[in-house]
This record gives sequence, structure tokens and C-alpha cells, in this order.
Amino acid sequence: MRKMTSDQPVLVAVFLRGAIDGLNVVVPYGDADYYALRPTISIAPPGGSAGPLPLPIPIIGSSGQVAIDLDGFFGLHPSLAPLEAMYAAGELAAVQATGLPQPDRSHFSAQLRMEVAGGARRAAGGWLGRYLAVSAQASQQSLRGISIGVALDQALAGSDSAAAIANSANYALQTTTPEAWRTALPNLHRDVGFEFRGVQQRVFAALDLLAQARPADIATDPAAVYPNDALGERMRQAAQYIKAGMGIEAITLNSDGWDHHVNENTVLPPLLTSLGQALSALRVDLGAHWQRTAVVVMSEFGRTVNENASGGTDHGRANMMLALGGRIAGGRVYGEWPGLAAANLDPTGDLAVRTDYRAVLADLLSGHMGLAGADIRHVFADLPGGDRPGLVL
Amino acid sequence: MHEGMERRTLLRLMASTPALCGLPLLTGCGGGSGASAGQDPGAGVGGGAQAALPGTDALTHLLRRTRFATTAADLAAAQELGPEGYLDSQLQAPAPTNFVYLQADARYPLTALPPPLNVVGALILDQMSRQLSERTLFLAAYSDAQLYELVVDFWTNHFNIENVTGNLPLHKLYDDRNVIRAHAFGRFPELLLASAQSPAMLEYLDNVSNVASGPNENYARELMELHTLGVDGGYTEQDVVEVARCFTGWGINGGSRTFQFQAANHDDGEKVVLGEVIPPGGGVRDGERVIEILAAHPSTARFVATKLARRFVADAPPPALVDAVAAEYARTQGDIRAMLRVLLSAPEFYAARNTKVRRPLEYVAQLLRSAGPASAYDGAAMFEALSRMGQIPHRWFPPDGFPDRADYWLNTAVLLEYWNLAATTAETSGLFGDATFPVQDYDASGVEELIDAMAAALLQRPLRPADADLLAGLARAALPAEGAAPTQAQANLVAGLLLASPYFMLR
Repeated sequence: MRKMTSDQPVLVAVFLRGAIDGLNVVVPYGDADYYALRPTISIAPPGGSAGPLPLPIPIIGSSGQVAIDLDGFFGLHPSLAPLEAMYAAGELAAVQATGLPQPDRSHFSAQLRMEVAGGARRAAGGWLGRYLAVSAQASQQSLRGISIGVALDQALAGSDSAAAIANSANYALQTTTPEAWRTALPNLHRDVGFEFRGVQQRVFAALDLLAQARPADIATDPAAVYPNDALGERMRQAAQYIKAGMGIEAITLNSDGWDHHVNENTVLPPLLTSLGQALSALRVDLGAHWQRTAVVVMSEFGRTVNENASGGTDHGRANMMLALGGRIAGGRVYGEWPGLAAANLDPTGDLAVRTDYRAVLADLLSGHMGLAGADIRHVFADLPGGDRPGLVL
Repeated sequence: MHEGMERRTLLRLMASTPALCGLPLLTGCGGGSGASAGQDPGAGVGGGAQAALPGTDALTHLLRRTRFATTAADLAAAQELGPEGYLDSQLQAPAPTNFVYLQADARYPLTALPPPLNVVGALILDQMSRQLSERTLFLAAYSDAQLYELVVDFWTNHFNIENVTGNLPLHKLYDDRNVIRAHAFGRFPELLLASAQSPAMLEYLDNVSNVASGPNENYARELMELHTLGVDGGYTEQDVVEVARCFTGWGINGGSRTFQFQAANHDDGEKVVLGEVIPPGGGVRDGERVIEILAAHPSTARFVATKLARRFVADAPPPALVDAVAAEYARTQGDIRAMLRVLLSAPEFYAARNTKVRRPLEYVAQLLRSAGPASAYDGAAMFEALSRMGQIPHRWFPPDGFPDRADYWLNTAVLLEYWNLAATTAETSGLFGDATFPVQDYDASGVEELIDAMAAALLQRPLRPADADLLAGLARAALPAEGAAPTQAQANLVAGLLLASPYFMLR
């Protein structure tokens, strides 16, 4: 019987597809230019009071929404109120003005770039796939990474120990003659090109591990209230994989619909409410397992600093990231803030990137997952040395 | 049951005729089962595939690549026509009176309502969305205009629009008929303009809120990145800005639900797009000029050619073939059928066997046709299957369309779903207790004969000898037959495994 690795660190990577408007999530309410650039969609300073602007009347916020204070300069969007306690407890850190080292305003190209993180040498697979490959000798396990969904996220590509599983509860072979099928399928998938053989082997590995660990039978803590949507369901399954102690080290899951070109005041709040509830429920549900868990929330790029005529924002440059977990040095907003004054924006007029997003991920891989420096350089081939945010205690 | 005789006759015909010997590009004729293993001319083409399965013969290859689904009758008809005649017949759009399309309209009446349809409640919108997606699946499986349906699917993904949010279920109905289907076999520049003026596209990529006082760049960017030039096609961030300005005021008439140019919202200043000055005061002509510039751009020819070649030939398309199709685009100003003819007649096309995997809609459509007649069609069950694989037609939310390269979608979730669909199809009886694949249809006196007959019928290709032996051993061991006559349980086992195998999954 395999030893269940109940102390195995685990990293959950949440990708917000579509490019979340980080300036309305980790709100730079202390930067006066923020309000000038966003006349109808800005989030008011905490308390809705004067804040940095010398106005005679309280600012109610052009969006009608008021930030939760983080550090006297940045505030959290009020729909993320479920995360306030985690920030206060030092388990949630934000990073501002982070992003890809090179500009890319295509959703698909930027997402791929971010998940592959291949660098100039065009390393194969995704960043978590390379992590699993380089740390493979430390584990006897055949399945160590899971994408919760019908597709294997590109971050996990390139590993022979990662699987896509949409729903662990019904991941089962449904033939009436399973022994014959189990004998036949490996042969039928042998030497046929593509990755048929590898995928077939990973299906069997996943079937075996799920049959042994039965994550779908793990009860959800009644105090953990996941939102009743796709993200909530995926997050609930992530908790089950972690609580099952089945040796999973990397979990990826997605949240869709963050491309708010129009009506941000109405589009963003329900999405953030769901995100906040899902992350908060995960923390409650994991209980003691929270200590060995780190969650990173990322998105392909930020949005324009100014709003457009549709009350939305278009594709921009730098964004925010979130890191959560029992060993995260939270309660802080990390990253050098370039400011929103015209002179400080990048050449196309967007928020400049000051923290390479790979530095944040590298922090988590080394500080939380315990990956050695040389192996970090294998995962992120040409990540410049030097300062990392220091996100992990 | 009632079709049993016909099916049996065809099956016997297929089993006894080493199909299609005499075609110019055919290899492996005259050999026994699996004799052409290792000689597959497609080996090594595309995606680094080292396909060691016996190559399909040339006509079967052509059918697999130009159809969602092929029945024994389809194969026999194509044999009559020969590859060129078959291709000619498939390069025709279906007639308005085509029976399958009339059937589809009757089955899914909300998709056949004439515009304008602007008084609809949320409930009807949900039903419209569902009916269009089911209709697409129905036509994929049962239309006789199979290449047309594949090309419709190609453009549906190229100009992807989800049909769930807001008024998109309504507007996508118009888009499906009047943009995608009307121009699927037409000219790309006209398709592009129709798409730019499609209410569904105007809504989906936010051009309805792209106005002079504040441009919205969403459509402008995806128009160049996804519809024409490609992400590396040579446009700049400033081009995105300028193209967005050109399309300001392109909106939807609230009454007729059709395209309307709203001059008051248009930025009538001078623009520069890809180096070309668009003079002030152009009005609606600005956007039309952008469409012309983009449609005539060499990057567009190459981008469209690459995507077509990836869709029909190989995940990593042969560069020489991409060049040839791009050249045909330039020569014909984007004549879609001319490009398809070049693509589907090229030596590179015939060399690329076993290089594409059936995508979920293709897998499901072929499974339906392999399993029985349209009268047994269960749309809801197949809709649920596509839902579990995240591939319901018209329900891909980002604008890039369903991924075409197998390494993006062929994974542990989809493969297990394919296996389970195969098992369920083979092992579950129909409405009248009939087996899906009645053992008596295959007229086999022993297990080996049954396997050969089922491979001919369900795969239209031979098995590797080792695979045939393996299946025979399993059929005997797991389900010992009394005497020599194969049992239904053995037929279920063999059929299920064949449908779950790469032989069936590879196009």
C-alpha cells in the first residue's frame, strides 16, 4: 500500500481567463490618477471618504462601490469581502503591477505564453509540467498533477504524470467487461502515433488512483460554502483531492468570463463575489491541509488604465496576482508601484510591469514546494536573477 | 431490423472487396489483413506522428477527411463516383429542398423562424440556443452534404460566437444561416464582410458599443488576430486603435435586428490602417475598406490556408501545401471551393494518413451513423456527451473557436469519454431490445471472421494482425461461445473495443 503523503505541499493555480481588471481588484485608491482615468467605473477609497482627493464631499465612488483597505494605499474590491479575514490573518498576499516580461495583448497568445513560460530557449511543456518533470525522482507516484476540467491546461503540459479530470465522481470505465477492456486498450493504443499511448496510460493511472483514494467521497466541511457555479464546483473538487492525501502536487483550474470590455460595474461584482467565496470556502474546507497548500490566482494581462466609452476596459499590460495559503507571508501588497501618471505608464499608455510574474511563481515553487535553485532555473529558463517578492514564510 | 438485409448485403460487399484497388495513390492492395503495415505513406507526416497503423486506402482517406460520418452506403456511392466525382459532388452546397435540411427545420423549428424575431422571452432564447446546437449535431451526422457541414463547422469556429449570452441565441440563428452557411462555399472576402455586419458578431465582440466618443477595441483586435492576419500577421497596437475607429458606428437596428451604420456614432476623421491612409469623411466605407485591405493581405491568405490545412490534413500542416493553398487564395481572391479543391487533391493530402484525430463532434457523429439510422437518433444523449467533453456546438466562449490540434484537447478526460461512449453504444440495447450491432448481420461462422467483418464495417480498414489476435483471444476467454457461432456478447465486446480504438478515432 502506498504511503499517503499527507504532508505533501500542493500548489493550486487558478487562471482567470479573459484578463481581469486588476486595477479594480487591488485598487490603487491612493493614486489620484486612478480616479481621473476612470470617471464612471472607479472604486471609492475605503470609507468612501476623502482619500487622496481634496474634494469637499465624500467620494461615493463613481461605480458606487467602496474599497476595503489593505495597506493605506491599495484597497480590495468590495465584492472580495470574503477574503478580508484571510488578508488580516496574513494568509493572503497581493502583487501589483506584475505580468509577462514582454507585451502581448492577445488573450490566447498571452495565456499560452504565461502558462508555457518557455523563455527564449522555448522550453517544452508548461511551467507546472516542467516542475513535475524536474521533481519526479522525489515521487513514486504516477499521477501528481490534475487539471480540473475537460482540457489539460497548458501549464501542466509536458508531464507524463498530469491528467485532466472534469469530475472525479464519474471518472470511471463504464464497460460491462472491464477486465477485457483493460487488457485490450493498452495494445490497441500502442504504436499508433500521437500521444494515444501516453494518454491511455494516464487514464489508467488516474482510474487506479481515484479508485484507491476516492476523493469524490471526501465530505465537504459544512462551514465551507462554495458558490453554486462552475468555479465553486472546481474549487470543491480541488479541496477533495488535497484532503484525500493522494499525493497530488499541482492542481490547475479555470474561471472564465473576465473579458469586461463593457459595463464593468455590473459585470465584475458577481464574478469577484464568486471568486472570493470560492477561495474562502477552500480555506475553510481544507482545515489543517491549508498549511501545506498555496493558491496562486493569475490572469493573462491587465486592462487599460482608462475606461472606454462602454463602461469597460480594453486590453492592457500589467495586472495583479493573488497568493494565498497557510505559509504565505500575506497581509501585504507586494511589488513596486509604477504609478498611473502619464509619464510612468508604459509606451502604449498602460500600467507598466515592474514584477515579472515568473518571479511570483518561482517564489511559490521554491518557498512553498521546496524546489532547489537549479531546478527553478529548469522551470523558468531565463528568469533573471535578483529580487523575488519573498511571498512564502 | 428492417434495414438488416440492406446492411448485411453492403457489409458482405465491403468485406469481400479489398476496397478501391486501382486508385492511383493506393498502396497495400492485394495484401491480406494488415499487409500494408509499416508502408503507410502518411507515417511521419504531421505532428511527428509515427503512425504504425495500416494506412487507410486513398478513397477511404478522402472520405474520412471530408465527412463527419461515413456509412457503408456512403462508401459504396463514393466508389461508384471515384475520388474526383465524389469531390465534385461534395463541393456543392445543399439545395434548399434537401430532405435532411427540411427534417432539421422540422425537428428544430425555432431555428427556422424568419427574421425579425425581436419579441422573445428568456425561455425562448434558451430553447433557441439549444435547438441550434442540436440542429448542428443532427446535420453533422445525417446531412448528405457532408463536406459542406465540415466547412460550416470550420467557419463557425473561425468566426466563433457563443450562443448563450444576452441576445446571442437569437442573433446566432441569423449568423448561422445568412453568414456562415450562406458563404461557407463562397468567397472569403464576402464571408468576412458578412461576418463584420452580423448582429451576433457585433454583439459578441462588443462592436455595438464601439463609438466615436470612446472606441471599443475588442472586434478590431480579434478581426486581425483571429479572422484575417493572425497574431504574427504584421499589425501593430496602433493598427488595432485605427481599425476600431473605422468600425465605430457599426451597430444593430433594434427593430429589424440587422446591421445598421449609425453615422452619429462614427469617427469620421482620417485613419491609417496597415500603412494605408483612409481619408476623412468615409462613413460606412471606412469599415468596408478595412475588410478589403485585410482580405487582400498576404498574411490573411497564409493564415486561412494554414488553418484549412490543419483542419483537413495534419495538425502540423505540410508547408508546401500551405503555400499552394495560399497561392490559390491569392489567385482566386479567396474562392473557398477553389482552395478546398487544391487542398483535397494534393499529394501531401493523400500522404497525410492517420494524422488527425476525430474531434468530439466528429467522433459522436460517426458513432451515431455507425450505430444506426436517423430514426433511432437520440439528440439529447449525444448533446450530454458533448457537454461532458466541453464541445457543444456554438458553446465555446472565447473567440478563437474549438482547438483543432489534438495536443490541445486529446487528454485523459476526452479519451475516457470516447471509450465510455463506445462501450455504451455497443453494449446497450435499443428501444426494441435489439443489439446495436446484431451479431447475425456480420454473417460470421467464427470469432476471427466476426472480427474481420466488424473491422470492415465499423473501421473501413483492416486491423494489425496482433490486434485481431488479441481481440479474438479476449472474445473467447471472456465470453466462451457454444460451438463456433459467435454470440451477441462477443459482438458487443469486439464492437465496443473497435469503436474505442485509435483505428476509429483517427480520421
